[in-house]
Amino acid sequence: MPAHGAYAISTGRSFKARGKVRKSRVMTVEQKKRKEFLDTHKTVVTHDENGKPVIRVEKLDGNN
Amino acid sequence: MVTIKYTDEYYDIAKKFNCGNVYINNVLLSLCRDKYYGTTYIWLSDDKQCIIGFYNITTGYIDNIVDGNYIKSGGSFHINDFALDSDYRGIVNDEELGTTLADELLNDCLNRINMLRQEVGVTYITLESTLEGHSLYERNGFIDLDEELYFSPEKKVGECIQMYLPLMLEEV
Repeated sequence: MPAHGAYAISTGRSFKARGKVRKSRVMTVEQKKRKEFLDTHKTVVTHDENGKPVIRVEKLDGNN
Repeated sequence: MVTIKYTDEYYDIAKKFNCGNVYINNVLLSLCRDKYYGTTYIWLSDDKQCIIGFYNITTGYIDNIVDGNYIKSGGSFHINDFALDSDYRGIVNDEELGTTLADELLNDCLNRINMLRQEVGVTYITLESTLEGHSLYERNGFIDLDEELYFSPEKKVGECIQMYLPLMLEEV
């Protein structure tokens, strides 16, 4: 019988916390800047003839 | 990089994946092929020659222990595994911000979870970090679960630190 008397589907693992768990957060300015960069750029990785990685960063065009 | 759901089609190139941790390398070759373990997404190089990283996600929840009672605090997406090939670790994609390929892969994972949570109501993302990975998660907003609870019920390799990320954002 589920704990709250309702039919609940629960899978995966549980984490136990003795302290109060925060249900929301505030993003720092630095985190926002990094998120904005990561959401608008992608790293392109290919390999040269010797198998060495060739890396370049591309700006996404907004349609992605 | 290209993110693709992991299938047996990629098993041969998965054999070449090396994150420097034998256990996690083997997870990609074994557990990650089991759909009941979780769903695995691989990060392929753009020439599709190799797997640069991967993550596996499933579901879980956080309990609050109050006066010895376990009270559900909220559902979560749980990152079972998250790894980057050693050859690509520490590669910075923006000097000023200091973001690395690991940040980019984690951002891909978090964006996917944000998409999935439109269908499944969850409050958190949880994971168990290795000591090496802790700073990556911390700078991306993850919080240690509880100072008293640096343990993993199913310890994988070495010491693990349980961390969580509240998904709801507060406006300042």
